[in-house]
Amino acid sequence: MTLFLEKDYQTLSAKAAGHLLQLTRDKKQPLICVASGDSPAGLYKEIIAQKTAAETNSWNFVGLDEWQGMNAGDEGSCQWHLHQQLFKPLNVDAEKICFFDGKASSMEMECQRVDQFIANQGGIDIAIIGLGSNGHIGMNEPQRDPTLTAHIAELDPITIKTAQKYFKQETKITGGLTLGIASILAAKHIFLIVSGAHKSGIIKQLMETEPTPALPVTWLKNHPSVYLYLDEAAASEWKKNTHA
Amino acid sequence: MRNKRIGIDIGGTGIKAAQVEEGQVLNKLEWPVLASGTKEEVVDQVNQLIRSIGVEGVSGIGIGVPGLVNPRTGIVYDVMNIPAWKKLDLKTILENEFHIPVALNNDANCFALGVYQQRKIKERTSLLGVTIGTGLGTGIILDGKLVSGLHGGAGEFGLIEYRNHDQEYYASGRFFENIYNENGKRMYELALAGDPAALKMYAELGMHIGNAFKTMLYALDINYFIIGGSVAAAWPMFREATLQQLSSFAYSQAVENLVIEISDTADAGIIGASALIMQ
Repeated sequence: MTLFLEKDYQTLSAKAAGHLLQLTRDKKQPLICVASGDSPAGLYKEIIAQKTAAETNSWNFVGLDEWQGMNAGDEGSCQWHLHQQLFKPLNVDAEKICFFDGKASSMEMECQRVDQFIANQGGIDIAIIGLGSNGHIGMNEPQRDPTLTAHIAELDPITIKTAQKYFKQETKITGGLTLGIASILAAKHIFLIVSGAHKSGIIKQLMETEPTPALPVTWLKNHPSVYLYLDEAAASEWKKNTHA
Repeated sequence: MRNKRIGIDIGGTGIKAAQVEEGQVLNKLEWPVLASGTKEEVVDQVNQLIRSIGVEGVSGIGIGVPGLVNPRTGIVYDVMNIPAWKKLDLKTILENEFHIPVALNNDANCFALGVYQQRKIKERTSLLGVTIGTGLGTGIILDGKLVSGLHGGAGEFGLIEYRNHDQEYYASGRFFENIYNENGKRMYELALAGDPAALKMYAELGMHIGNAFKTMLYALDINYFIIGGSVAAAWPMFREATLQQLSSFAYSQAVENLVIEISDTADAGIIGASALIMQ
């Protein structure tokens, strides 16, 4: 893991965007895996601000995860947020985006479709992900099978509770569709973006724990190209430890 | 018996660290920025990295630093870009913190030890690890053993006086700035694109590197050079000029038998640092 520790969220987002634009320059039609959520929002804003004219036109996107029973038409869904934050501002053609449809008639077929899209594009070039306070990445909760690709995810109560912040009114969440740990680890580069004091505990655990199913994010530790972006607040618990 | 050690490679701008077991690099963590400020802040950064890659089951910690360090005492005297580390007893500090043996050496010596380990070559082989980056560093492996000298300064060929400066003023990535007031990275890109002026500069750099190699050959008569550092990637651009310069070496057999290899792994410094524990 390559660690970038920045003073605040804005600086961190700008740095990550710079790296992302640099890495995608060598690639004709890069496939970017995008997560919704608060953590990558600043990165998306910075990509929109920093990109040169046509730079992002050739990019393809795959969504990291989606709630079951929802799709782009549902305000608050993962895809809805990404349309607001990224796809609309970049004017991305619909055929360049592959996203789980949580309303599809067969969830299994939907997972196969997403796996197939990734394979057709020659794999994910850059996976942008955030981190849950229980250590989940995507909707890969603790103690699940790390060898899965796209699959139906059973969610922990804490994840369902935290997710309420993405919706205007209380919304019943039953489960999700997500790329698996194996899909994420197959990406050429992984951008893990974590900010804020409320993530400082999980960052300390990530930094001090060997890869274990109890903390899915630790699987990233042996990937050859993980860029970890932290702000000072997220790193505070980990840094404090030195003089404990 | 499994033997897991930690190797830390402190560079001019950042720090890389990992566990090394049977030549495999695990849990690598790279921090591209050096903590600025006090002696303690940079020591804290090293501490955090060590904790984060994990000390459980680790038999020792080896550290390579870009600067003057006494490998016998583990005292760091002067490090590039960490001005606060003057006469710092880093070995004792870290041993008190982690209660396992700690060994230090300079980065070029760690590079040489690392490429030696990676190649799994015959015991008692001699080789010279040459790092060409912002400076010119050399690590000597003689009969399979790292030669650091009494104070850690053996093989500092880059500091030998040469023309009106020293060897590394001409035979390193700083050449472009020192002689032509040009940015090395930009010249590399131009040379890649076939720009004649940039290629000519590389030929001149190659000539100086050839002269530096001659000094190394006169001192040690070792026939196996492994080149690393940021300038190594440009080897095809100065190779011919370097070999041309070597052709006038007095002991022609030494040049005929000379093997020059480019190291393409970024982990040599970490692996070499981890191997300091056994030396």
